[in-house]
Amino acid sequence: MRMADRARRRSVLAWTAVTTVLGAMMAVQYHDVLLGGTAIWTALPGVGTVQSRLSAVQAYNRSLRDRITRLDGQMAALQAHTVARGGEAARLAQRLHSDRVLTGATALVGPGVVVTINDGRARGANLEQFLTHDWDLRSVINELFLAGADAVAVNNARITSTTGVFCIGPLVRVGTDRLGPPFVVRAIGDPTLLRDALALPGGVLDALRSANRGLDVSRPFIRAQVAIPAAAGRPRSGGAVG
Amino acid sequence: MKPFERAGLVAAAAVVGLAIGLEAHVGKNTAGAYGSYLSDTSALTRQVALTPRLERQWSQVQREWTALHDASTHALHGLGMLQAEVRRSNAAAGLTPKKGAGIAIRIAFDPRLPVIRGLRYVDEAVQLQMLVNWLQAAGASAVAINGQRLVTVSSIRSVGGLTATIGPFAGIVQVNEVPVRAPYVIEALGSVQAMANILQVEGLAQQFNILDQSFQIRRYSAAHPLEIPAYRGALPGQYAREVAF
Repeated sequence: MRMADRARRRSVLAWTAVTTVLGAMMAVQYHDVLLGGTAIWTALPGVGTVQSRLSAVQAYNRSLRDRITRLDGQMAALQAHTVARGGEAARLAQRLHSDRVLTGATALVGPGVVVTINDGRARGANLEQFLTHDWDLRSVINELFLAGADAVAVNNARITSTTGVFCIGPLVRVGTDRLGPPFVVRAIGDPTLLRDALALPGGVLDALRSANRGLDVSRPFIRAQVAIPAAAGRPRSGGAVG
Repeated sequence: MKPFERAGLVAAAAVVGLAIGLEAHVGKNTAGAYGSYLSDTSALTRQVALTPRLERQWSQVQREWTALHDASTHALHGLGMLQAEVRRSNAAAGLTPKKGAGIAIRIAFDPRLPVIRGLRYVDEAVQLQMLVNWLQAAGASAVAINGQRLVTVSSIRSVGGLTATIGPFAGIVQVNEVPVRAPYVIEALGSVQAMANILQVEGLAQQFNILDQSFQIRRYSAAHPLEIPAYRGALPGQYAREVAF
């Protein structure tokens, strides 16, 4: 009798263990199928490696950015000091400054203008007509450089000699940055000249407004301090103010 | 154990197993974790690609700072270093001629092309801007129009109204404030294949052909390089001040 009880108890325990494991396996299987069979990967050591490598590379890049930003700041001060002292070193320092402005090496501040272009409101089937297009932005950028701008940025994207401006669906790619409306165009230069160039009757902004597209184009606002970030790939702040 | 007791036990144990499995697995491996795995992988790729660029910039900034620092002490070797640094940065800014593989595109009136009336009201500067934009998209490292090197502060604009004359482009375009006229020769350094491909995919030749202009591409290899002249226009920097932010 005792032997029979023991055997029955063992049988119950075995069934319980087997069916519990089976249930757990079903749960895992069900969840993996829901995720396309890939969730199990996350339990593999490779995932942890990706995350730890990402953290390490991010930390290294951050330290490089910080060092570059710090030294850029020191260099700006040294440049100003060298220029003020005059002589050949001043001439070279001034030339280095022009080069760095041209290549987008560092962030810049200075007087300038800010203009904002926003998509219009679609009223019909032709949605594209109400979107801000690459050529709209290119025409404004071109006009600003024509008026002698030192530097131009659209949102947080600095324009340099290798920056292409293209529509990608409803967005605009400026260099490597994908931007959506509103498009805030900032320029550093002679503020009056820049404003007058943009605000010229029949000029570039009027052309955007009058093309029956409903684009919301602000007037060019003069700002005493416009901030423009460094070019893509250079250390940049999260958002320029101006 | 009776059969119904056994069935009940199996069912109960299976439910408990399911609950344990879900708790242990789902909690740790959510769809978010999977998404996070993918985004981590692509973020890692981007960060790894960024590292050498940042390292190059760090070396460059260090060199520039050292040269400027030494030159500010008016030491002779300091001035020499700064001159070398300015030469290097001039090249990066487009202020020195540049040689390499590339393409030269010649846009000229071709009387053999069919005349499509009504399509001639074109802004030649806008056509050239469009072309330059595509070359930049294909990674062109230097571009010139009729010998005028384009740099960051370059502008391309038409002088006067739109032209409607059948025949050669008759407008005047200012590049770097210097007037240039058709036929236009646009030279670009970079990947020959990438630039030629993008122009073909975007149908640039056809766009100029319907304006009766031929669009001929000449390719230059690294062995027989194309030389693009230096920018000679006004330099920027009068209003901008460098900052670190």
